[in-house]
Amino acid sequence: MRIAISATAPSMDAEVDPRFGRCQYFVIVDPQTMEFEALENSNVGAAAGAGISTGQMIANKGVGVVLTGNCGPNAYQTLSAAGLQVITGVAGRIRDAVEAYKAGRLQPDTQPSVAAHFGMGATPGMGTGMGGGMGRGMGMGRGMGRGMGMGRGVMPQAAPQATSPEQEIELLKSEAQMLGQQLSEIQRRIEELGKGK
Amino acid sequence: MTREQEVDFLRSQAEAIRGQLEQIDARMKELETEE
Repeated sequence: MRIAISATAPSMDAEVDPRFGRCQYFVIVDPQTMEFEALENSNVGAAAGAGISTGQMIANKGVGVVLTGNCGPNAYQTLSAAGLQVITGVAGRIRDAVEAYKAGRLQPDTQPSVAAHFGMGATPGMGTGMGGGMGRGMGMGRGMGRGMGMGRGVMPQAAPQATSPEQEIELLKSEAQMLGQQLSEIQRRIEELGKGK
Repeated sequence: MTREQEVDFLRSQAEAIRGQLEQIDARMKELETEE
């Protein structure tokens, strides 16, 4: 059973990329032989739907396990629906992550580790605040602060909170707009699939 | 993932997003009432 690991470079000695949907590369490793192949992630700059698209790409590669830093709800659901195990909170070199997995030191997750749109910044580590709200953080550290936070990890930056009702309304409008775009993208894909593409 | 699985998944995803949009709408109404 092969393992897919989000990576910052196409190498076993690269670091684990903390993002899943918008990571730079995937290194797919056979843990028995340590043979690997590297894939460039074409969704690295995607405006929307990166988690789903990347999840589908990895599901189609015949891997059984995904190791990554963080995984949002869209990607998590895509991978789980395809029967893949997801392990988040993984950091360090790809080679070491595989060894840790082989040694049984990494355990599968039962839920996404971050809100949707995590990691939309241009570089790893940018914009990773998630706020506390319902898994609808906007990326770029704009969590809504309405309880029921999704994640378990400690984010490197604190999420700015809306300080006034007006500000929260603006954030909610932006969030609604982004979700609307995501919904359109999903509907477009459903139509494509209905036409047999 | 088969085409059917993908369609099923996308439908459930769309449903979840609609639910989120409804929650946002409800929260915006709350905030507008508070103002």
